Amino acid sequence: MAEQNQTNQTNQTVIGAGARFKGELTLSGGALIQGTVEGSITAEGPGELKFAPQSQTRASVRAATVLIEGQYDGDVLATERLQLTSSARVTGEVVAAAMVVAEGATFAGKVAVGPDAVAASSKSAGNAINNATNSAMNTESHTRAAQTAAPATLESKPASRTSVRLPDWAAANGGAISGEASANRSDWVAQTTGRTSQKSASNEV
Amino acid sequence: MTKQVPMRDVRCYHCQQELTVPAAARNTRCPTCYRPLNLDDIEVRGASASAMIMTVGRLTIEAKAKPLTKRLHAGELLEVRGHVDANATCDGHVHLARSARASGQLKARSLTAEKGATFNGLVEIGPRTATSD
Repeated sequence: MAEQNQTNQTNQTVIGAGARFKGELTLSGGALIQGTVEGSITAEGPGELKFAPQSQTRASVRAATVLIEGQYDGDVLATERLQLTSSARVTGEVVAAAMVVAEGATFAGKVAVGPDAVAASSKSAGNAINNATNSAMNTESHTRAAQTAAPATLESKPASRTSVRLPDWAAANGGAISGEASANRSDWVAQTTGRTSQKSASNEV
Repeated sequence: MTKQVPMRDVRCYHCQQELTVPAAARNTRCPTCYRPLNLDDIEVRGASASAMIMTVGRLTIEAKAKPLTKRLHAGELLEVRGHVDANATCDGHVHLARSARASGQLKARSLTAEKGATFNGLVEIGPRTATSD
C-alpha cells in the first residue's frame, strides 16, 4: 500500500490495472501505465513513463525516459533513455538516445540509438503519432474494410503485361512479316538508322 | 593428490552444443560437430579484414578499431567502442560504449547502449535468440 502511494506520488498520471485506454494521451511529466493502452502517448517534460509488468500496450510513445516492464507492441521514441526490464516483451521500432535491455527481456524490432537518430525522428514524430492514433481509433473499421476490399482488389488486379510497340511495317500485317512487309521493313530500318543495309545497297547497284 | 584443473562451460557457436573445457584452454574442437572453436578473449584494435571474428569468450572492438568483418560472435560479452557494421550475435551481454558507432543486425541476450553511442539496425533480444547462424 505504501509502495503504491509512493508510485502515485512520483508519477503524476496513473492508468490503473483494470483500466483500458484507447486514443491519444498527452501528459506533462511522468506516468505509470498498469492497464491496457491503445493509441499514442506523448509525455512532455523530464518525467519517466513507466509501463508496469501487467500492462498491455499497443501504442506509439514519445517521452524523455521510458521504462517498460510489461507487454508492448509499437514504436518508442525516448529522447533520453529507454529501459526494458527482464519481464518486458517488446516488439516495434525504437529510437532512443540511450538504451538498456535487461537479461530475460525479449525484444524484436528495428533500433536507432544515438542523438542523431533522436533528432531525426523528433521531426517526424508528430506525424507518426497522429497516424498511430488514427489507426488505433479506426482499427475495427479498417479491418472490416480490408476484409471486404481484399477479394475485390485481387480480382480486379490486371495481369502484368509488357506492352510492345510494333513499327508500322509490322503492325500493318498484324505482326507477321510478309514480302511487302519485308520491303517496308527495309525502309523503316533506313529511316531509323539513317543508312541503308548492305544488301539493299547491292540490289540498287 | 591430483591438482584440480579449473573448468568453464562454453557453447559451440557452430552447433550450439554446450561443452566443458579447461579455463586455460585457448582453442578446442567441438566434440559434436568437430569444428574448431576459439576460446580466447579477442580485442580488435585496428582494421581487421577477416571474414568473421568468433569466440566463445569476450570480444571487444576498441575505440579506434574499424573492422571490415561482416560476422561477429561472442559467447560471453560483446563490447563495442569503435566502428562496426556487421551481423553480430552474442550469447551474453552486448555493451555499446559512448564512442560506439554500430550498424547491422544484432542478436543478444541483453543490451546496453550508453548515451552518445549510435546504432542503426535490427535487434533481437531474448534468451533463445542469441544463437549463431
